[in-house]
Amino acid sequence: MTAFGATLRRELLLGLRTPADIINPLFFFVVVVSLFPLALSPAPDTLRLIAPGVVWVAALLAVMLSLDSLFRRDEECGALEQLLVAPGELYLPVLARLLAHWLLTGLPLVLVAPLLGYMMQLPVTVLDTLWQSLLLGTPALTVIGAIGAALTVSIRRGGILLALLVLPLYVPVLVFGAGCVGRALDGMATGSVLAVLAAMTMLAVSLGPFAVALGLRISSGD
Amino acid sequence: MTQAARPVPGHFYLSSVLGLVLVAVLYATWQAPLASRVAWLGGGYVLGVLFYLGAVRRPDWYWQTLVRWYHQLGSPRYFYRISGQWLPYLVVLSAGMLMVGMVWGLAFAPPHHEQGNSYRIIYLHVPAASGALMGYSAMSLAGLVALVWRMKMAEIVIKAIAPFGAVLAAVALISGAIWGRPTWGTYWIWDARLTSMLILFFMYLGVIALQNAISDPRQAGRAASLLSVVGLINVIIVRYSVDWWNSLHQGSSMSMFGAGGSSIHPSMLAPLLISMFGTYFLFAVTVLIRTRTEVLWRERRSAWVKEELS
Repeated sequence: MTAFGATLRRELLLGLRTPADIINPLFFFVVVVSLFPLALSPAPDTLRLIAPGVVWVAALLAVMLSLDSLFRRDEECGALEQLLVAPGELYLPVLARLLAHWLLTGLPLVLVAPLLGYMMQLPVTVLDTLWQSLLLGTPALTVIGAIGAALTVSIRRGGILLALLVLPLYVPVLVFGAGCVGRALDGMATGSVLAVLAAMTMLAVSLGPFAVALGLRISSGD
Repeated sequence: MTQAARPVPGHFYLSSVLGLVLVAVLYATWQAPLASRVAWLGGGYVLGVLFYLGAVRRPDWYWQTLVRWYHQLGSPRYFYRISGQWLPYLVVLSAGMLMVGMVWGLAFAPPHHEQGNSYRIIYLHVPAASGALMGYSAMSLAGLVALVWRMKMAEIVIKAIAPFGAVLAAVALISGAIWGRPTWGTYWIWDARLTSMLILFFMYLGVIALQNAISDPRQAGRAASLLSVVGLINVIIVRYSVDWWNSLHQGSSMSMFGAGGSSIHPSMLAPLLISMFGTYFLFAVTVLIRTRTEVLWRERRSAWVKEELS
């Protein structure tokens, strides 16, 4: 467990000392959502209709863009190489890294989402479902995206490639995440949909780190 | 009494697999009419008994044949030689079946009672769609082999499958759009199956893009393997999530075990099946040709290639 704790501590510390990596995705999330009323119409009815999808897509893009910093810095300074040659399984260190990344970039999105939902004219009763769905869904987004980030870490300009690899993999989470908020908006029960989201996150969190570890090994030329 | 550890005989595995298959068939045919249940179970039983008798006569034969094939096909030189022998038969099979299936379907099958002649595009659409799906599964299987056993040939096969699979997915999408115009009144709607085929197309593109972005061929192959294995899990989940999201597409017309059996009339089904298998063989031909070219390129410094090409 020490590997887990040490990695978590290191990542959180590094993250807190480079606040731009935390603030930029959050800022991106807010800016993208505020573009939609400008592009479409300020009419509350229209905004309410599109709000679940807009917030979810913006959160998804923010998570994806934050992934570039997940392994890149460690790859450049050689820390990643050290991690790969260290004895023991990669599973726990990778899991710790993903957890730290989610705490620094995913959790702030969850916390800000109710505010954005409110600005998008969602009824107050739906805001609960909004943050719950994001809380259950964003860990899966982080883990699945990390697989793509691990595979593209050695590629110089991997940004657009990362999007091409990862976005199709995000489809199920998006469908259930935004669908869940949409159902709440229609006054339907959302418990079952939230449970499906939770199941997807469980699947991603339990199996994903293996794929991320394998991806890192492949990228290091092993 | 000590005895050298004897490998578990092949028929032990075989009988467990057959048992599982039997249970699956029983389960799947639960609601089917009695006649079709009897046909499936009886046919399966006869096949199983034949299989089992063979296994008893030579206990390890099936397993060892599989292992031998695996090792032989893993060798680029052997693969090149044996695929060269298969290729002519496959070309003839695929061209013949596609020709018969398409001409029969497009010209001789009866018109549909509602859709008239416009349904005939099914003979292009369904084979392409099912080929694209099957191609992705095959690619993921090869990816698993490449990741677990680091088999070089499997990596090459992935590279060979991806482009043709993407083309088939595109053909399915385009033919579906053309079919959608007279049937649904629009070229495109966000229906469940159309959407999952579109996602499948994107995922093929992702595999191709990743493969092209990495210059070292072994590394590119392994990266594409991992992506395709993850992608297969995703394809399955996408399928169910978009079903939940929206469904307008006509239900699957072909079902081996469904309540009423297949809902498509036999006179339309036969050419469809023939063109589907023709498409599969075409897939095999394309993959073999592309794999052979890639093998020659990667092994270009070895003696056998120089000998082969001189």
